[in-house]
Amino acid sequence: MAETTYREALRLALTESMRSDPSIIILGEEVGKYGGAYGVTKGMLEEFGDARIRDTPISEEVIVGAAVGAAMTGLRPVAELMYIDFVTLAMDQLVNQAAKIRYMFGGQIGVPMVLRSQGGTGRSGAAQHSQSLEAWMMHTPGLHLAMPSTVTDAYHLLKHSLTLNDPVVFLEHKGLYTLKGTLEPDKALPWGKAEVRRQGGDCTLVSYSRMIHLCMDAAETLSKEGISVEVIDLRTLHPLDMQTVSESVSRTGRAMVVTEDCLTAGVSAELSARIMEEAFDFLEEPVVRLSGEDIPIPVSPQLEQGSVPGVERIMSTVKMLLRR
Amino acid sequence: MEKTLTLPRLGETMEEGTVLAWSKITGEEYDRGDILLELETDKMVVEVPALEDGRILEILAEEGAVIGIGEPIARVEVESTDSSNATDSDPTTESKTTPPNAADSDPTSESKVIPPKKEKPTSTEQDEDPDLEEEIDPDLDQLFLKTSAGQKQVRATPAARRIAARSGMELHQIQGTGPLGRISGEDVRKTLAQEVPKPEAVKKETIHAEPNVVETSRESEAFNISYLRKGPSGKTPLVFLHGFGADLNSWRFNVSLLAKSREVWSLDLPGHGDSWEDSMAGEGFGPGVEELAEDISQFLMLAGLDRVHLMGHSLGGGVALSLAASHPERVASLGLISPLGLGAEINHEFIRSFASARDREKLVSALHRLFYHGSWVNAALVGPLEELRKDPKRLKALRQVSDTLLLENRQRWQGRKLLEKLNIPVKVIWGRDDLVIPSDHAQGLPGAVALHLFRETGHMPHIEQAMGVNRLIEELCAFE
Repeated sequence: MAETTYREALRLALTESMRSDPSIIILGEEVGKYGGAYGVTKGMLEEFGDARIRDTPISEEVIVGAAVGAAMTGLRPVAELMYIDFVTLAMDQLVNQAAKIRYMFGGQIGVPMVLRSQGGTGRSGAAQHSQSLEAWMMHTPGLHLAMPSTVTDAYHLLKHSLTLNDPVVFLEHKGLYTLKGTLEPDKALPWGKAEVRRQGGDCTLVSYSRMIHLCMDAAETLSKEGISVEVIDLRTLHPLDMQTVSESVSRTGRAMVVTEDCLTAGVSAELSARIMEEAFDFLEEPVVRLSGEDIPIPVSPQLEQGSVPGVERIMSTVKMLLRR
Repeated sequence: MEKTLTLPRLGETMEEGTVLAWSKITGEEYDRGDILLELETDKMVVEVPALEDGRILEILAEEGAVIGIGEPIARVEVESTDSSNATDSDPTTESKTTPPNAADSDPTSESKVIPPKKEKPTSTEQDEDPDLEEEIDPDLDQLFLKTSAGQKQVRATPAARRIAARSGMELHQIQGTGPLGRISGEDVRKTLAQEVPKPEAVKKETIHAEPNVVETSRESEAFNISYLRKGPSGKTPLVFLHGFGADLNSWRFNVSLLAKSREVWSLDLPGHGDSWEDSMAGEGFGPGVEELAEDISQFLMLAGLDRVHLMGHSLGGGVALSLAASHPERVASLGLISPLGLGAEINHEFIRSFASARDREKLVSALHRLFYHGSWVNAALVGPLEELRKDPKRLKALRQVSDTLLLENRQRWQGRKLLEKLNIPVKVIWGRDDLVIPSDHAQGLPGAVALHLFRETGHMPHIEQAMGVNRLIEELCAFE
């Protein structure tokens, strides 16, 4: 099978879903003529027309608010925000409306929408265009949260999102759009299931999105030094597959959480607490967190790189965890 | 009063030990039951507890020192002047009149905690200052009371604690390789792999130069009773009968010391230890207390033991009582330790779970009910019992014996009335915290029967309070 990119896999998932489900529409800034800030929807206006691919004004509140209303009245909208950083402008629509509607209406109506956006560092986007804000989403009951790391997951998780009856926040990573890989069309894991990307016995790395690739590189290099690292890709943060994680940690006795979002009250805090709760009796060391610095992301490429975990730091932290 | 602590015998084959670590420093006070030091013997690492309250004056055997039994390990100060210290290797120096818990019951011995003194360069300066107690600031006193009450913390990972608990290992016995000596799960596994003794290894020390079995018979069937004999002949021999599911190794903390002055025989009851034949797994097997008493009586005659001091624990206590009642002329004195037959209640759940426990986890959990201090459930205890359970026949025989002993959920055999008739010295010894046979069965015994209740002691006083029980047995035997 030919290699494809993360961007193309997302486009394929959207296109296939729209072909089979006429209720799906896409709305966002520059999603039509321009083809999306990162080119995911390129060419889709031509196939589906401007009734289903709608360019919107520069107003995140309108984009998300319109999507919530459309979802409540029978459509299945895909709202795109150029940067997750701008979700602040749409937080009321997302947190107080999308996430709460099913509960507020006694289950009679849901909000079957997907909010697509991208986050993370790597393009010198500076402090307002480089954040990883998944902890906010994870902290909000009522939202699904998917964070694909691979071409295959980008495709399957997005297709799956477009079948769910409740809102999904679908967070891509700006550093992954050009990632190449073989799309495996039959490899659809159940929703909410983590995947063991690499098996190992000395310690468990738990991560998601772009950090998975850094963890895999670190694990590969460490294996040459005789250190055997297991890497778990969570794929979705809600639902959260703690079963796979605690099964692994129970075996290795050591766990390290690697995330790009900042350390304090971040996803890594939640994950490490859960591991301690669920696998305490099996731990040989405290759970270690390696996360982004608690700072605004700098614009300088060197400083930006230094503000989030890198392969070298993952390796040295694994060694610290193993006391080698 | 100042005295010298000497190295106690802590195991059957032990001749010397290596001091691994002192838990107390010079000048530090300790309470009865506190761990004084860790000692490595040929088989295991053991903790040596204090048998009375006291204070370390000088450590004579430093960490790493190899010392023989009876050699001095420390100079200590104790408050009572008449009670003996269990670490005295010479039983003859012990007082025959002091009750075992004299130090506890004596109001004057209520200890004030003296702040541990910093170790001084020369030992002569460390002698206690008689006015020291008065000088203590009351607040300081409180402070030290609190801290001295805390157990020594073991640094171990959660994984290590889980593995140790499941396998009956005591974390104190494990050398940690992590930072600041933290014990990892890997350390526990390694220690487990080394330390679980094969039953042969334990058994070997019981094999005597002479044939160690005597053939006896029940009805038409002949079978062997295995025994360990030790000590010089001359005085009336002492015979030990172990409890249900145990074997003659049950007396490992008693035999050597008592065998210094007389011949000591410890026996494996039929169906237990090496008094075992495959036929015992058949349907007919399941001797009751009286039947076992006749077996032992027959053994004693065949072994030429016309008159003995008889000590029995639990089931063995019932057997000893039955034997003494039916053959009073052959029993010089009787020691009943947590015996069967003095009341109806028994922890039938323990008996049944012990008799049916196949895996280590269930076995360990059952064994914990035998002791007040969980640390006795260690690899040395668990290993041989676990090994034995690999043979389904042995388990079946054990269950059959337990079925005979229990009448529904109570004790079948009752021997309380037999005690009235006995005209020999009798001691009943019990742990107050016995979870198997309640110690209140010791209430209302005939006036001539001496009762010894040990506090903070479970069903195994001859192990948990070995030194105290040994002294009581010495007292019983003193008459001939």
